[in-house]
Amino acid sequence: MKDDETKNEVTSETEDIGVKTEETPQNAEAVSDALPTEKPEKEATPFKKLPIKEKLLIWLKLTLLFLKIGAFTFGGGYAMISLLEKEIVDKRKWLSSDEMLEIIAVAEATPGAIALNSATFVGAKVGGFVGALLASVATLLPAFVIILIISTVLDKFSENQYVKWAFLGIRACVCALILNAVWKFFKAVKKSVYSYVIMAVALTLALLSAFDVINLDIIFIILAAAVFGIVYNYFMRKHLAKKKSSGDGKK
Amino acid sequence: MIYLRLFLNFLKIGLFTIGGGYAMIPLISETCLDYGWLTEEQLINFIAISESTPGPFAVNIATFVGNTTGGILGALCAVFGLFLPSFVIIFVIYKLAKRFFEKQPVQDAFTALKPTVVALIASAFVTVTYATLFIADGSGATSFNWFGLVWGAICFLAMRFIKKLHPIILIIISAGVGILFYGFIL
Repeated sequence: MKDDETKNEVTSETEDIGVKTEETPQNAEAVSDALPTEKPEKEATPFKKLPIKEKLLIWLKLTLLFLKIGAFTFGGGYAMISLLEKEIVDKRKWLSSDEMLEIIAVAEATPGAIALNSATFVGAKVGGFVGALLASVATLLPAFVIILIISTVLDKFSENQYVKWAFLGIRACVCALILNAVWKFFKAVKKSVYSYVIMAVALTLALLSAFDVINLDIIFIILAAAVFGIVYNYFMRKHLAKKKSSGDGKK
Repeated sequence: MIYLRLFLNFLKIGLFTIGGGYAMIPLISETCLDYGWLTEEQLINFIAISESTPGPFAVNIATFVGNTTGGILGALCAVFGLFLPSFVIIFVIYKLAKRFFEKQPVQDAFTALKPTVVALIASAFVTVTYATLFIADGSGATSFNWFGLVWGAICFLAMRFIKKLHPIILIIISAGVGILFYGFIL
């Protein structure tokens, strides 16, 4: 009876956090099993105070996990996130899914590859500075080695007629892949005149620069967008506050 | 010196690309084409290779560009440059500024940065498609690539309507179709 109660509590908690509903029952069971032993222990001893032997073990585990993730995720950042969640939240219980959501948000918002960013962040949370370093190097190592080999091999084969034909076919597919990415990102952007105007201006500038009509760095477009966002919203908020207060005055 | 230039340019790319993946294409192509490190054709081919191999796109292309211009040491410099800013930024945020992204100006900046990232990917699409559809032959004349248009459209529709279709499978099929069309039909 008591067990059932804790289970229910946990289920509602995980739903609040926003875990996929399909996985909730499984998750809840796993979490409730782990609750009595894992949670207090984790909170009582932060990583810094662990004995060196356990630290080394965690670093080793981090390295192996991110080597695996680096070697088996095709398609970059977003494909990696679901794998990370499975390994770190569900299987190893190093982090809660709430913490994981925070990590993903930060990884997306900071510059650089999303996969690398989330590896650094997870590594830092689980194993401190060394953990962050190991996790991120482990993530890029498989890609580094594989591409080194491929680029050497590719040089030898790029004059081959069949390879040339194959790439002519593949190039059409690459256009479709990028268009698909545009489609997905476009749907995720907030639908408003504000977004559409920024998108149109940024696209025009980027294209003019790409076709060498104007001489403009892409970095300038990114910085200008950030500044515009800050300034515009600041004055809009001020304007709205003024309007509201003057409206109250009339009444 | 090529190593320093690789390091600094990929440091710049690592520092200024938000959103990862395809959002990085405009900046990467701007840098690589300006320095003559890659031709547009090589870049597009490499996007497909990167999509078919594991690991983040940015790491893959940094390794590739580094290796083709400066060997293994060049690849190391490029990847290290790419890696450094995001590592430092993430670690600083983790240590000092966990609430950084909840600050109002930061959130305001992102309301404009998100549509900009979409625009950058869209511009990558336009330039890549342009280079695919208008192929310059040796004499300086350009010819329109009808095959590219038709097959590209088929690929896009396939991706939209077949949810489980993995990009790698589509790339392999495209390679086969390319060989068939150019080798045996044309």
